[in-house]
This record gives sequence, C-alpha cells and structure tokens, in this order.
Amino acid sequence: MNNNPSSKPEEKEERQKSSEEKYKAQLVCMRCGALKTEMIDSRTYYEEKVCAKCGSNSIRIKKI
Amino acid sequence: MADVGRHPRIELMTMSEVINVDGYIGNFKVRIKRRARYVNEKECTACGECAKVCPETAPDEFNLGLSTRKAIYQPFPQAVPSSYLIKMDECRGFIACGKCYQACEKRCINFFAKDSFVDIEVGTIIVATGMEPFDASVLEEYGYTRYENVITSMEFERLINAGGPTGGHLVRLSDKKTPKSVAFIQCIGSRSKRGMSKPYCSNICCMNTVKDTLLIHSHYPDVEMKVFYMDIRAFGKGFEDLYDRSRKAGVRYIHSMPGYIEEDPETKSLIIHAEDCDNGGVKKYYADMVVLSVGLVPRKENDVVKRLLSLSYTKDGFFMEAHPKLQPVDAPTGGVFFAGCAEGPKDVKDSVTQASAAASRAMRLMATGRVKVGAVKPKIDLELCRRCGRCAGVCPYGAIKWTKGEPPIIIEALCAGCGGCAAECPFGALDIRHFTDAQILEQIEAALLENPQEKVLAFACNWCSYAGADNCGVSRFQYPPSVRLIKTMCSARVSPNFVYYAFRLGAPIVLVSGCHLADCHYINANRNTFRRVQAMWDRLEKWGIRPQRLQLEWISAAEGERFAKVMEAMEALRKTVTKEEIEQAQKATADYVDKFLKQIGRLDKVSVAGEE
Repeated sequence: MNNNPSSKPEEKEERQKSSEEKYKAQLVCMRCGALKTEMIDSRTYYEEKVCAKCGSNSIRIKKI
Repeated sequence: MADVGRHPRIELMTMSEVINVDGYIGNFKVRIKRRARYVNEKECTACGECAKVCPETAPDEFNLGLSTRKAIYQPFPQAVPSSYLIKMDECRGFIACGKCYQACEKRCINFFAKDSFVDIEVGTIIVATGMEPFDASVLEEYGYTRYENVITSMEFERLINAGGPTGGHLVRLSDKKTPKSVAFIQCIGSRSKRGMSKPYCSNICCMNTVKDTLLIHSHYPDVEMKVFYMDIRAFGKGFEDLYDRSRKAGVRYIHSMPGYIEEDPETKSLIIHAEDCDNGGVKKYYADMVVLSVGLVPRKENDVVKRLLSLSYTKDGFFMEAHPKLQPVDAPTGGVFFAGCAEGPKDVKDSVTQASAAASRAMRLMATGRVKVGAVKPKIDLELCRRCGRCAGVCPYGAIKWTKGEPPIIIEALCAGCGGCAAECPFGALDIRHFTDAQILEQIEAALLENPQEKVLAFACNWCSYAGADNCGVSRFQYPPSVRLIKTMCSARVSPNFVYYAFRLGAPIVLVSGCHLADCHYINANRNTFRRVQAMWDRLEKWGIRPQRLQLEWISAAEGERFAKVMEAMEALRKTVTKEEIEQAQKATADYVDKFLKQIGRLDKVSVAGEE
C-alpha cells in the first residue's frame, strides 16, 4: 500500500541515509528536570523514554 | 503440503516473492515476482538423473549444512511441487557444462528461463512468514562453530531425523561415533538482555529438549543426558507429563546456566563450566556432545512485509496484532491476518490453531462480501487544502493517496480513524467525523469555562489512557477533581492548535496521554504525537511559556493506579503555575490561536476570560 508521497525510491534512500545518522541529544525530564545525554538516531528517537528519577514519560529531546 | 498442492482452489506459488501490495481490504492488488526455476515443474518427475551428473556441490540448506547437495536439486524430499530447480549462481551454465540437460530424457531443463511477474487481486492476506533460529555463533563462550561437537537444536533435529544426513543415527560430527553423553543447554539467545540475545521466552525450546531427551533415551538407552536450564516451562496440555517421563528416564536436569565451554583437544569432548544453583559452587561437567537449545527470532525479511502491508512490530520484533486479547490474529491493517511465528514464537499446535483462526477470519470476510467500516473517518475541505501532502505522509495505514499538485484522496476502507492527518494539516483542511475540531474546541471551552486556572486539561486516547482512567475509576483509586478529560480516538488526533487554544483560555497545565509507544492501536500513530509534542515544547519555549506546562504521558488501559499517580503529579505541577504565567501564555498564544480560529471560521464564537 504505497500511497504515501514519500514512497519514491530516491526520497526513501535519502531519508534512510539521514535517519541512520546519530546525534548527541540532551534528554530533559519535563516533570522533574532531570538531565541525561545520549546518542540518538531515528530508531531510538521513538523508543519510550522514562525518567529514572520520577518515572515520567515527558522527556524532551534537545539536539546539542 | 501435498494436499495444498493438489487442491483445485489453492494456487501454490513457490520461489515467489511479493514485491508490491496496493489497495485495501477486499481489493488488494498484489504484484508477485516468480523466480525462474530453470526446470519445467509440470514435466519434471524428480527422477534425480540430472543431480547425479551435476559436478557442482554446495551445503544443503535443508540439512543446515550437515550434508551437501548439487547445483540442480530438490529442496527437500517432500517438496511441493515435486520438481528439481537450478541455483544459477552455483551452476556452471549450459555452455560450460550442460550435463543435466543431456541427462534429462524429458528435456525439462531450460537454461534460458527468466523471472516473471504476476499481478493478482485478492480480498484478504494471511501473513505466515515464520521465524528464524537464533544465531548461536554470537555467544562465543559456548564455542558453536569453533568446536565440532557443539551443535544447535535445529542441527540435532536433522541429525536424528530418519531422512537426515545420518539416516537418523546420533553421531558426533568430529568422529562420527555415537556419543556416550549429551548435554543440552537451554535458553540460548532467549530470556537474556546480554548482547544479541532476546529478552523474551521462545516458547518451544523446553519441550523440544524434553522430546529430544526421550527420543535419545528410546534409541540409545545408555546415553547419559544432562539438561542445563533456568526454568523448565512445561505449560501446555500433557507437557508436564512428558517432562516427568524424561526425568524418570534418568535425564539429569541441572538448574544452571553454563558460563563457558571448553574442548578437550584430543578427544574433542567438551567441558562445561557451570554454577550449580541448587547446591552451590562452580562445577565442571563433561559431555561428548553439547546441544544448544536456540531460541526463535523474527525473520529479517519481515521488514519488507511490514512496509508492504503497513504493519508494525512489537518490542520483540514480531508483528503486532490488532489487539492481544480480542483480535489476536488480525493485523491492524484491515483484511490482513497472521498465522504462526510471524506474530510471536509458538509451537506447532498453537501455529495450527492460529492458522485455522486466521483462515476463518479471512473466510468470514470473503463470504460476506462486504465490510463494515467505522464512522470515524477524515473529511477534506478542498477549498482549504493546499495540496501539500503532509496528511498522506503521516498516515500509518497509507490510506491517503496523494500525488504532487493534486488534492489527497482518502481511502475510507483503509483508514482506521486515528485522526493524525487532521492534526498534521496546517491549513485546517482535514477534519475527523465525530471528533471534529469544532467538537474538541467546544469541549476545551466547556472544561475551562469556570476558573480555568484551577484545571488540568488532559487529552486521553480512547484505547489506552481513557481506558486507564476507567480502570482507575472502577478500582476506586482517587485522583484530583481538577482534572478534565477529553477523549480522542488516538493521541495523534491532538492538534497543536488544541493545546495552544487551551493555554489561550487560561489552562495552567495541558496533558497529552496515549498508548505506550510500542502499543499504539493505530500501528504507530502515537509517534506523531511524540514528534508533535517535541515541536510544541520548542514553540512554547520560544513564546516564553514554561514548556513544563505541557506534559506527555503514556498510560495503558491496565495502568489505573499509574493514571491516578500521573494526575496527582499534574495537580502538583498545576499549583506551581502562577497567575502571571497564565496571563503571559494567554497573550503569547493569542495571535496564533486567532489565526487558526479565523481559518476554521470560529473566531467570533470564542470569548476569553478577562478579555473583552
């Protein structure tokens, strides 16, 4: 079911390439303010993150 | 298998690959690539004369490399169709060799056959792509592939099979002698978070080992057997009985996970170093052969199927069903069903049960000939639409067809109604029936009508967070009365406009909650929620609004207690928001919200407390 606009092979390749790139990001708990630095890529970006201090899911990812 | 091959209404396509799937429930258009077999399968009688003269040999995949086959071969004796094929990358070719062509009296071999493409139309699709055994060579401590007499349970199956490479005789690979002792090590690649191992239980390994020990005992009663295990999971009908029989047969079950294996270089026997968990101490155990009971992992090729059918994975990497209890064989995409290990590790009995269920589900749809679809669907205002295609980009089902410069077309049969497209549209051109912008804005207004500074506005998705609130209620957990819940079908429906509107009306805290990220009812629509909330935090900060005033929580239907705790935390957070902060947020969001309201024709209908 390739109805999406992004199904052009060249666009997909480009997206794949950029999604594989890792970047350093600061994870900020929006409830308690706890900070953590991690390497993030497109896969880990969407992994559920939980604050180790307060158990909140409100984790903001700030690229640094 | 043979029955399937003979059935008049089943077309079996071997050596075929699905390369594209278009359409929706009841109207799938599937493009299939049929790879060339180079042997006429209708004429071939599998006499084997061609293989006898073939000079090329290669490891036999069916026997896991324990024997060899020719470049022209039958994949396995019971293969359907019963016909040979040529693996062309191993073949010397017609000009350099051509011996098989000469040997075939019926002239079945055609070296010039080409791959072909077939287009078919089907109403339903059953995904039964199976699994792969875990690659034990990555666990170097057990010496698989380094020591000849360390084999996997899959290889063991071929060794003791009457049709296998040794004709069913249990032999060591190093000297082809019957081992005097065999050790089984359980949970190889399962129930471990170390390295490449998988955290889940593979379901079948315990009983497979129990069965293997009984098989060895019946053929070779003198062979001494040890099983190293973490837990024996004999949970099925008759399984505990089988386990008892194995123990009574003299099999020694040792509660331990071996640390490493060494090989005696002279005898090629193995020394297993393991901690005895029951009696304490690290001990050495000796065995002539070690069988690693490998777990099951999802197939690598599943990624292609996932993309073609708009499916999603669970955390384990297997396909995710529409609902774990109520729709265990249905995929989230309408008209697609699962059978067997594609959905999760399971034994033969469970696979057959699931396959029967999947066939029944598919049959029920096809017998009816029509399908009822939900009423929660997007509608498009072509006057507002700017043909940007962002809606199509976020649809997890591929239900929006869009070509550049053209307005999007919504395939209602494919759409599940998450509402992510409407939240993504920056021009307000898309709306969701029964969860329209107007309806949700009215709810926000009603919730914040009186004393908005004392309220926590929470958006909850229908399937998880709202059900979590229900669970919280029926379990009699207390949570602060300041919380005002607004239900949406999916958290992806929560448009940034709703959040900013709530701040505009004086809400101190806005909470967006939905299913846990890997458990979204709409494949992975809540990823859009996550991405949008990240962008909203950035924007709030830019406007000088404390981003903490927007919260995001994943709460499942079973987490009633957690729901209450989250609401308590929201209330505590609300108390930290000052009157000045609320007023500042109202001013900061005014322009943006007014623009949006004007866009959807609601500007005159709204009044903000404290403003004329």
